[in-house]
Amino acid sequence: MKRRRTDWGSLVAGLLFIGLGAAFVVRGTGDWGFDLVWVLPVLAIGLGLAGIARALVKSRDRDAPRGG
Amino acid sequence: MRTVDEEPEAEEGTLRRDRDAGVLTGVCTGLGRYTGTDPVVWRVAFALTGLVGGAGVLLYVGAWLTMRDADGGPAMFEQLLNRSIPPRAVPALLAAALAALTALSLVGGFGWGTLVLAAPLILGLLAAHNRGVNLQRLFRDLPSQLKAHRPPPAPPAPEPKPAYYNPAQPWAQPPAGPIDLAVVAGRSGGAERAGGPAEEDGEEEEDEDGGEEQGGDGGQAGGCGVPHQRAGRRVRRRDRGVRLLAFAFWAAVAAAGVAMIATGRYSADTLFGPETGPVYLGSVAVIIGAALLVGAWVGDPRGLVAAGVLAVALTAASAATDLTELRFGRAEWHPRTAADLAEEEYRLTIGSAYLDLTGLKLDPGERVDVDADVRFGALDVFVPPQARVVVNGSAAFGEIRVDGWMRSGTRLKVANTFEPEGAAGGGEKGEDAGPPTLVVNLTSYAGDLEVHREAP
Repeated sequence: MKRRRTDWGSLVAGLLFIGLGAAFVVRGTGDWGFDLVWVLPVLAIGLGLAGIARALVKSRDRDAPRGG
Repeated sequence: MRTVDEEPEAEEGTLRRDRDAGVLTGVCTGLGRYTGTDPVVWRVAFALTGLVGGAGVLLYVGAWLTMRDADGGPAMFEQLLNRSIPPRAVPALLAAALAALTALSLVGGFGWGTLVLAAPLILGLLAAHNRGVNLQRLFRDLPSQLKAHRPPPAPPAPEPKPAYYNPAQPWAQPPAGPIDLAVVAGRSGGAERAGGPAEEDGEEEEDEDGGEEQGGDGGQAGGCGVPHQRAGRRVRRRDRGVRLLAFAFWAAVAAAGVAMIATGRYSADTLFGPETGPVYLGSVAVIIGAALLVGAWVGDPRGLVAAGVLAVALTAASAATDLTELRFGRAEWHPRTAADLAEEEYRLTIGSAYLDLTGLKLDPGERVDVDADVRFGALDVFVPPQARVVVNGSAAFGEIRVDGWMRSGTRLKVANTFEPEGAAGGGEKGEDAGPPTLVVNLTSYAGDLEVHREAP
């Protein structure tokens, strides 16, 4: 599979979903708990950061001089 | 140095709403195009600030009022004030309004609302600064830009629509009147563009969209560009690599099998029930997150973010409520005896329900409790007129009507007693024991609750 430049948006979103999913798994097994009202703001902030990361990288790529 | 008034109008014509490419009104698409950012960033920012007392909605409406339309026609505010608002002042005005709202949220103390408003403001300013925008000059020039009394741009004249005539088609008849050859050339050019490589801009997704639009023209004109376009799409698809959403889907299916074997229960309860549902759905969110991590370097991660949001929402919902108990649609309940009331549950998640208690056998002096719950929707309850009815209703938002009496609004709570019809006359059967009492407990999050003292 061809490797390409790092997609920071996917990277941040991936870490966000792994973190949230793992938190629910641990909560479900009863070892640790948290208030569900935190899920929405954490999700919104994480997605916002992922979008900003993607947009910044995109704009940087667009501004960079093209080779060739 | 050039002053604000000396700058030509042409430089200001780039910030425009793009309704065709946008989701609602094209505001975010226009802002994204103007600032060189993804429109999704603007949508998230408006949605996020909208959680704080609707601030994002106000900002969105403000942006819509001050942005010119796709054809460069005057913005709504420009028409109302009969003066020009420079397009480059719009993002500065939005930032100033957001700063004012952030300051306003500090009244009463620092809270999460201030944080939610301040975060996009600070991040936006940092991003603009990083991209070389002179913020100091931008805000310093803002008052003079707004004070400059320039007339608003004239609305664009409607484009003439000459009839299309393709002289290459031998069966085509030329239309009456003059033929605009520029139209013919334009159509032909569109067809050529559709057939050509669409990789010039380097943006895969945007190019694909553009290619589709051009393909529409090309198909009309000649159709020879379509095979080239399809081949181009196949090449782009191959370049993107394996679709990771499919991997995540099949991994989630496999995880469902593992969860069922591990718990020994082979039903939807294992996957969506309150006990093991959050664990399984949380695992699905982890799978999607892992696929996204892989997609950061290889493969095609499209669709995974939406799937992840859905998985997290389902996980949170399964932790908060029993998803297997959700009921949708229309329900009709006709209990006949007190035993029916004890056995059945009158619950509906979303929809409309109809509870007929007029056929209920009630003895004089007997007291019967009925609980009915419609989370989102409408509930009509019919009670026998000869019974004393105690109505306890509560709704977070909506309307409660009882026998002509009505209350609507938020956080509704009603406790009323309605005496049976003809109670003052007396002399009826069972007078010693008194009329039967029906206690109706109705609850809803958002909906209309209505009690009728009559047969349906």
